[in-house]
Parts: sequence; structure tokens; C-alpha cells
Amino acid sequence: MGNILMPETTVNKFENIVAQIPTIGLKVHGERILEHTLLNLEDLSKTIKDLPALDPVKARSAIIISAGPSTGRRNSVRRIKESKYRGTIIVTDGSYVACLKAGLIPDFMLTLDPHPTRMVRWVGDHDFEKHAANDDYFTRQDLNIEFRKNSAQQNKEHIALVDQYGHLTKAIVASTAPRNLVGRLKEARFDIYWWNPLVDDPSKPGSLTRKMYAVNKLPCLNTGGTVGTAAWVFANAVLKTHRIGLVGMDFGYRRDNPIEKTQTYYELIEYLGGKEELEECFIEYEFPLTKEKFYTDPTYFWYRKNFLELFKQATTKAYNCTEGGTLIDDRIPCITLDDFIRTNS
Amino acid sequence: MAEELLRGNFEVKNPVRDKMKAEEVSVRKELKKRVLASLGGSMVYMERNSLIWDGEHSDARDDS
Repeated sequence: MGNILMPETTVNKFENIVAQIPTIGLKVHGERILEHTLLNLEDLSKTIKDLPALDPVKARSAIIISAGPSTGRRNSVRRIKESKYRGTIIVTDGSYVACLKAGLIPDFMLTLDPHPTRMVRWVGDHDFEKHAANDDYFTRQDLNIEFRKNSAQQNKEHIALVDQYGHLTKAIVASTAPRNLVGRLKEARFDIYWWNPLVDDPSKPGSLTRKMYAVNKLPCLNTGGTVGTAAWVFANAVLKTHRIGLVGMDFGYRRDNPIEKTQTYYELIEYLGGKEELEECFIEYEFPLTKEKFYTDPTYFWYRKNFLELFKQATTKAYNCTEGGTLIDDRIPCITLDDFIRTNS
Repeated sequence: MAEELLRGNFEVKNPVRDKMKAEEVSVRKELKKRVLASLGGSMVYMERNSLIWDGEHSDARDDS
């Protein structure tokens, strides 16, 4: 369970909130998911089952680069680039541009979120001004802090960069992706491979997953709710790379990050009906390699729990090379990124 | 004081139902549900025994 520093009573309260978070909240997003799936039908040419086999060196190990705050703080992308690591590089959509800027061309980029206006910004958005108006998502989220100060000029640079290098990366795209994102991926000539996210129990009558599968016959992957977890599922169950290094999988915040800047701060106040018990919604961890303190909120704790639950089905080895955060579990040794690269080169 | 004076000194034809209270509770419940949903994700299903489901092929494998 990691090094929880809060008293036991607090943990129980915290876990009560987490236990109430619904795993299946499809009522709000169900229509959008199905609509995107139907609209994307015309572009489905290849599925993740059509991926060519990896060469032996690439199959031996992979590094997954998620967009957690440690990726930037630990300078992980530049270190991977400078190491001349020869294994597979898998990135989430939120960390793709950062890789290109460091001169690192990923083998695979995963995208999952169906949001109609936000996700396209990860690959440069032609409608940047329109989509940025009245939306503080990128200024509030902590994943890729560089995107907090994202400007129209920077967006233009991203478009140019992605247009130049997109064709060198395989995009692993969920059928629920918004059309504007799919349009950008096509425009930048990504090699696209499709899949369905498992959104409910396909054995149940009326299952949305089963409906999606019925129309597109795409294999369905568990996601744990985050694209980083989906990237691990992809590496483990589709690519079957023997050893996987996880970078930027923080599932939390550094202790010096004010709780006001956590992603669901206002929702938690609303849920509790005030700020009085708010501090009980955060649990602190000590990261074993550095002894630095990190904390998690119910949302990240829930995503982390989902990841660890799915990890029970792991058939390959994984190492936490984030060098920070709250993913502390005996099954996933915390090692430095340099050690992982050294032992897998 | 006013409550004491008014209580029980006449019969009403129809029973009084505390409609507002019931509505308020249901709105609060709904809001709480929405907040909880926004704390989590909308696209997560965690109960399968396999990381991948591939239609009938998966069903066949699960049965074995």
C-alpha cells in the first residue's frame, strides 16, 4: 500500500470517498462515445491486431512515457534521447510533443480521451483560439505543465513539428477519439491502428462495448481510466515487450504543490459541503528512492488503484522509473531511469 | 410560539406533503452523484479477467 503517512482513521474516510467513485459513469458520455465510434468507421483501415511484429531488440524492452509532472522535472525525455536507448518508445498523447522537441521520435503514441475540443491540442490544434476560450483545462491540469502556458504561437510550432515527424510514429487510436483529432493525425500522416476501450461489461445485454464491437470489430482494451494505464496494457498485452519501464506515472502531486491546484479541488469542496474536512482527502507518500514526499487525491488514488488492479494480470515485468510519485508497490520495483536503460541496452 | 398557537386547531382536507424537502434531497443526491462521477472517469470497466476482449474469440477463451 505504500508509505501512507496519514492516520488510519483518515485513510478510512479517504477510502470511503474512493469507494463511492463510480467505475461506470457512462450515462453522461455514452452517446458521445458511440457517436465518435460511428463517425470513425470510415477511417478504420488497420487494427492493433495488424501491427507488424517488433524486431528482437525492440521486443526486449519498452519505455512508456506518460505526461506526469516528473517527466519534465526529472528531464526524463532528454535523458532517454541522450542514452541512445534502442528499445521501444511508447508515449501518451500528452507527452508526444515534448518528445519531438527533445529530438526523440516515439515508436507508438496512444490516445484515449473522447473530449471533442481538448485532445487535439496535444498534436497542434488549428482551432486553438476557439477551443481555448472559456476552457481552463490546460491551465488547471498538472500533467504537462508546459501546456499551462500554451500560447497560439507555441501551438503553431507544435503543428509544424507534428506535421514534420508524425509519419514516423504509429498512432494507437481509440475508436472513441474525436474527429478533429483523427483529422490531425491523418493530416500529419501518422500510421494509425485502432482499438476499442472496454467501457462496460461486454457480456451484459445492452453493453456499449458490445455495440461498439458489433459495428467495428476492433479488439477492446482495458484502460483503467487513463491513457498511461492504457499504454501499459498495450505494451504488456499487445506488444508483449518483456520488460517495461514506466516514466511520468506519478498518480499524484509533489508535497509543495498547493492543494488548491489539484485537479478536483472544487469538486471535493462541493462533495464535502465545505473546506473543513478537505485535508482528509489527500494522502501523503514517501518515494523510496529519493525520500521525497508526494500526495494523492481521491481521483489519482482511484486511477492508481485501477492500474494496480489491472497489473494483477501482467505477463511481463514492469519497473517504475518515474523517480517520484505514488506508484509504490512491491510488484513494480522503483529504479532510476538510468538503471533501467543500462540493464536494457 | 407561533407553532404552538397554530398547531392542531383545524383539520386540513388534504394531507400536507413536504414536497420541497423531498425534491431538495433528490437534487442533492443527484449533485453528489455527479461530483463523484467527475472525480473518477467515464470510460472505465474493471471487472474482466483479461486485459483484452476480442468478441467471440475472447468469449471462447474465457469459457475454456
